[in-house]
Amino acid sequence: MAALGNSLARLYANRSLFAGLSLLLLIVLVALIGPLLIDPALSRVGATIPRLPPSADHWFGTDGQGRDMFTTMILALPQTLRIGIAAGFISLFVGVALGLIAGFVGGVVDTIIRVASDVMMTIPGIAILVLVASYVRVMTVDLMAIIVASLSWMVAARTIRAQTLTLRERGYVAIARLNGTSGLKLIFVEVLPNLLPFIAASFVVTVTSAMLATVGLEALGLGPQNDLTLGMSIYWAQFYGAILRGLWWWWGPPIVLIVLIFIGLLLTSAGMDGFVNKRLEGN
Amino acid sequence: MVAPVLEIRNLCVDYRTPGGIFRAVDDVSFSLDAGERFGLVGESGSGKSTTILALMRMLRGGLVSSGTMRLNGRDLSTLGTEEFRRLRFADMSLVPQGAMSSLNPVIRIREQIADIFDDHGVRHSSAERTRIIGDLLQRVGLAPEVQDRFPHELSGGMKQRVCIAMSIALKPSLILADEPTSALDVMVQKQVLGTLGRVQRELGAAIVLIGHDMALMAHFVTPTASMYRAGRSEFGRGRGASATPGHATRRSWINSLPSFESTAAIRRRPTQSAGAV
Amino acid sequence: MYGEYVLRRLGTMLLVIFLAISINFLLPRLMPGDPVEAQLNQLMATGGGVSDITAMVESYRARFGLDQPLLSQYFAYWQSIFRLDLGVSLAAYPEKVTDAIAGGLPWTLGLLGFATLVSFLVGSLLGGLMGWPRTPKALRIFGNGVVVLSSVPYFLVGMILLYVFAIVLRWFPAGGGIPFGLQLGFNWPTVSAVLWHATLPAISIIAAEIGAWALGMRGMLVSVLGDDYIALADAKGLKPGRIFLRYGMRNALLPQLTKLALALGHIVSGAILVEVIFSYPGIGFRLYQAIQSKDYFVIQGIVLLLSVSIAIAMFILDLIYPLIDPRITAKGK
Repeated sequence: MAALGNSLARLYANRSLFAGLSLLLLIVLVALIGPLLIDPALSRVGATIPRLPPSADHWFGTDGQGRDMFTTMILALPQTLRIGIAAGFISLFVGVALGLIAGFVGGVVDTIIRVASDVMMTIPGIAILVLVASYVRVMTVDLMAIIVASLSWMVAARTIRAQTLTLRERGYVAIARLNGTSGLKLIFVEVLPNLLPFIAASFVVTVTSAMLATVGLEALGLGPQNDLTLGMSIYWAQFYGAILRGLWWWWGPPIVLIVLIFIGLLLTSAGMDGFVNKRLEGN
Repeated sequence: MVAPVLEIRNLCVDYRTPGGIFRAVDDVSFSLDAGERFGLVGESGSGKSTTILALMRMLRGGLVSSGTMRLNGRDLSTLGTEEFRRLRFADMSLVPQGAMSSLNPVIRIREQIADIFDDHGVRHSSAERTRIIGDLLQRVGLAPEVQDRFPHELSGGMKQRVCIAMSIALKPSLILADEPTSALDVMVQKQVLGTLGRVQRELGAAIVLIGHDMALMAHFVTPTASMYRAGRSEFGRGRGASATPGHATRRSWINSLPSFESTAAIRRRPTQSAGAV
Repeated sequence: MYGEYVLRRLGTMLLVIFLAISINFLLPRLMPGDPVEAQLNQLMATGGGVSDITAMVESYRARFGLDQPLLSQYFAYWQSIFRLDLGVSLAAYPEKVTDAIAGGLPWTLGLLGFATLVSFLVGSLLGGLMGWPRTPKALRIFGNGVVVLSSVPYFLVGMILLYVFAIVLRWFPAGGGIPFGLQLGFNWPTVSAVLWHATLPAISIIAAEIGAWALGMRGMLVSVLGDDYIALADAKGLKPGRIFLRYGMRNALLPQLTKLALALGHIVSGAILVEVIFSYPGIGFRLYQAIQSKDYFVIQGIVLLLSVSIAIAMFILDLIYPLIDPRITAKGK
């Protein structure tokens, strides 16, 4: 119990991290609880009069297709978060796995993984995503997560690889090896626990990267067609010329929500940076 | 009666730690005349480097809580930031511990010595500057062409010599050498220390040498002070001090040094005579 | 020494380009669905009246060589690459893909090149100042604001700028590269019109990008300031300005350049969307149009062009790096 209190105290001291995590927590809460409190019928096409500015009846106004913006936003937020978090997890898993393998096994395997990650970083992410997404007939939230994840794993892989290489040479790992600990056990017992801060930091990076790619793809119209997400509502707003027609309440709220998510992610990653980089300095 | 070059009286340096105030240097006093060599020996953490850092106003997190430091009669605490900046390396210079990492890796040696002159308002023509720097390098036993190299192209000993050259560029009256040879090989240590001694003597400057190798120090310095865990400093004349140890710690150090007889027995090589540096 | 290094970097670049081209070839062919059939279906849906398109599909297939085995398609693909033939546009048949893309290249290069350069240089300086202990607090607060701004994707900044400055205030045009109907020429009216149209897109990219470089540079400088040579520079009594620039920034800038090379892909991705928002006639906008009309060959051609361009840009940066850091060629990699 005292340990928990101690950790919380240290967390509060790191302003950036605290602010970032609080913001993200708030957003997640809204995404989880919000849909339970509203009437989804208001978000269907033609539910009400289109293009109404914000008022007491419609807090965020209505869009060009007669949807209540507030309701729509509450429903779109969890979808966007789902893609970002799912993609973040997938690419974290892939990145950590590849990084560990590259660092531990070394040799040809390491070279292949390194070259692959470098090449993937060269090709502009959006280009590959566009290529793949444009061929997909029906885009769903899950499919989107997979596609986006395929391009967010590189930074995580690099970080984990660099750390694994260092840890491999550390005293306690060498001793464990001499004691005959097998490869897999070595990884899970000795190496992985020390990688946790880097894995956490990498998770923030992969989620940020995934969200960026998601929003980008959606703005181009390549997002999920059936479930409305924040990015897609921006696309539809753009498509119907909402900016030129001055219908700011149509594209404004999704932007604000997206910006809040990114600010939260940035603050969190900046907060973790200071902590993680100090460890990296030692190399 | 000429004022001593350096006069330190009752110096106390404190660090603020989560656990309270830590006194790193406790009531230290000593003074140096021109040309004198003063050695500061002690265990790690006894406050030797802290004393020098306090003199150079380079304490990170520490504070001079009491005592006075006088350089050529001037009370150092009365100097403003800009005044103190001009004093650095002009009146008092530093030979750092880790020359390996003390040189700017991306600019040439020439530039790193030249900027000392430039920022202290000493103007030279380009040709003159090259000659002067080449001169400085020769005085520390390096070829003048070294000035066109980058730090990573030099060996440890060479880099340390460059640092020594930098420290005498403006002919200061006091040189502070913080374990200048600790990171070097044993043979190179003697040579570099020899060079340092020679340029110091030529310059007539006073020198404070910090080290933890008693044997090496004993050959170099005249008075030696030992600092034992931030306790009061203890004064003793170098060579004499080795023979008549007073403090318990010093006694145990000296006992741990191989005497010449046993060295000869182990190595079966002729012992080196303890010549003056 | 330098020659060896150049050759090694060149080899890496060629490898990357080879892999990028191969991926570009493979990926669409691994996808379910047939570009030709899909395209024809679409054309039919918008107004064709052919009863049986199978024969048409067959003939188009043969035309585009899609009925050959994969390996020979691969070789044929490489052959056409060397002939700089990227195929024809499906939507604007028979316009060549190269023609469809080439027009957009100078626009994108100008916008992106300028914006990236400004963001990197100004951002790095700002970041350096933020990391320097003697900087006034006001500048630091401003810097932090800019950093937060960088968390927002470029195109969202673009949308806001578009709305505020083009729609509401009408200070800038709402889109396009040049005013409608302007005759292009090397004269002031043309240049000023181009600049006027490029201002908002450029600001969108710069505003969102600067913060990222500032943040990175700040961290780098803080870490460099802990190094021994900074302490000695201070001890030498050097002027603070010199320590900041020649000892601090000079060393902190090097890793930032590496990051620039790696971030190019990300920057290009962002710029594409900015072009879309402003209907700026660059490569990005053409990509958007190609997506709308499902013009697969144009999409592929653009992706190829972008990958190769970035690989070349990274190579150029690799060439510059040893000129700034004398330790590189000596060490080798």
